[in-house]
Amino acid sequence: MADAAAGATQAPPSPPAQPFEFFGKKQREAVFDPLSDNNPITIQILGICSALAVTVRVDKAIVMSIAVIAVLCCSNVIISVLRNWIPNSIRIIIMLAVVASLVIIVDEALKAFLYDLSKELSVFIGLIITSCIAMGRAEAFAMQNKPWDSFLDGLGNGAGYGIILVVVSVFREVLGSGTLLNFSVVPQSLYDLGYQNMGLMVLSPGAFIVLGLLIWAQRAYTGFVED
Amino acid sequence: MAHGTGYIFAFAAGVCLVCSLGLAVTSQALKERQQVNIKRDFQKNVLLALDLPGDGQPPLVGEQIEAMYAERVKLVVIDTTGVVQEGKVKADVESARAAAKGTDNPVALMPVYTRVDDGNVVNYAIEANGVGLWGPISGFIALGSDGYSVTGATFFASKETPGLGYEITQPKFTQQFKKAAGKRIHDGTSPRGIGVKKPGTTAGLCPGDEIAYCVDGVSGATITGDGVDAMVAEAVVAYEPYLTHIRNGGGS
Repeated sequence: MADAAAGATQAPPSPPAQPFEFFGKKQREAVFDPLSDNNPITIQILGICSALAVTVRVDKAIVMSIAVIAVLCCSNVIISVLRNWIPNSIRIIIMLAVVASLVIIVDEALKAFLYDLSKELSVFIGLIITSCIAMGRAEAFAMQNKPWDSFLDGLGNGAGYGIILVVVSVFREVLGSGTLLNFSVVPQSLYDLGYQNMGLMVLSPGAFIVLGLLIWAQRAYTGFVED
Repeated sequence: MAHGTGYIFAFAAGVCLVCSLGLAVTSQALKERQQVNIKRDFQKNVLLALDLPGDGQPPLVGEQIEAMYAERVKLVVIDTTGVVQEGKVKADVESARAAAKGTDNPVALMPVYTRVDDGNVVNYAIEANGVGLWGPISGFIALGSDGYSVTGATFFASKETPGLGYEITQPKFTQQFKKAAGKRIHDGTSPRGIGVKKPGTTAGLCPGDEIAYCVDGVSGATITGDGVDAMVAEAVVAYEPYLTHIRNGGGS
């Protein structure tokens, strides 16, 4: 009896039973908030490393985004399903194991089905493991929410990450290489007039500058202020 | 909710078991496909260096690569003195390379990928191995039947930075080795490498005929470019005995 009483006081207050909502207000927030108001990159400042690394070309940014969305959705669902069984003291390790396994599976699948792209993305797919987004969302959302909501949260955050990646990569590819999705967009006549591709944009500092400007612009628009 | 130590250990062990099982199954299931991809990627690069299927032709995909490779490419294995070793295959070259690794000895066997048109060898692709910024890089440099002129090249740089060092694998860089570009690996008296220069400085650094021994590097990828520079210079010296045979009309 004493054990049962102790267990009862330590258990988190269980939320009032809610009817399952397929796409209610909470679900909409989970998907759409991360796209702008709570964007993982520009507001939460998660996943900056890969945002700097894979934004040289738009096609790589798109594949990277798809990979992150896939990993994030799966990891959120798995963590959410297990959330009541995961011992609190080792939860971070469990999340890491789940995320790492999923990333390796994605990497292996790319090698088998999209070999050329996987060659170019090589190390960066692996870096999703260390990217804070997957861990951050597992800890902040999936540990407290139901699988379906967590799936939507993963989808929203992955897409929010992807949007920023694509926007940054459009600037970098057009300004740095004069191409978009590997098609030339800067007319030859402009080069004849002495225009040159901006080498800085191909290098990491170019990503820092574009991302910084983007964060500034978005925070000015949404009015977000760090606490 | 508090869990006992035993539960924590059991849970951790369970997660490890499930994760490792999942990975093992994935790896086994996809292994065959991946190895086919790796093989085709290698063959595609050899074919590209040898200018197959040629400009304006649609790129080969899937089994077409293996078919074209089997039909048009013949591997010749040579030793360090340039003598052709009959009956040796790619695996022999690989084991020779493994044996020389970590020692100062030169690799005993070297591959030459020859392009065969109607029974005649028209191009020779030599293999170069070197070091880029993050890891090994390699490449094929195809030579004309004269043994002097460069007719094509492809590079592998899987460890290099995407968008920077990795760009040496892209057409923008490799097209500088096409036949029309008129690059050479020998000036008539001694073998010469191909210098990879800072873009925009090539004309100034390589005046007149020297331009035949220079290409534009990739901005922001100086160390990878230096790696290409060094490995090509090393390869042309290593293959010089064999190339001399070819120039004297003794090619195979």
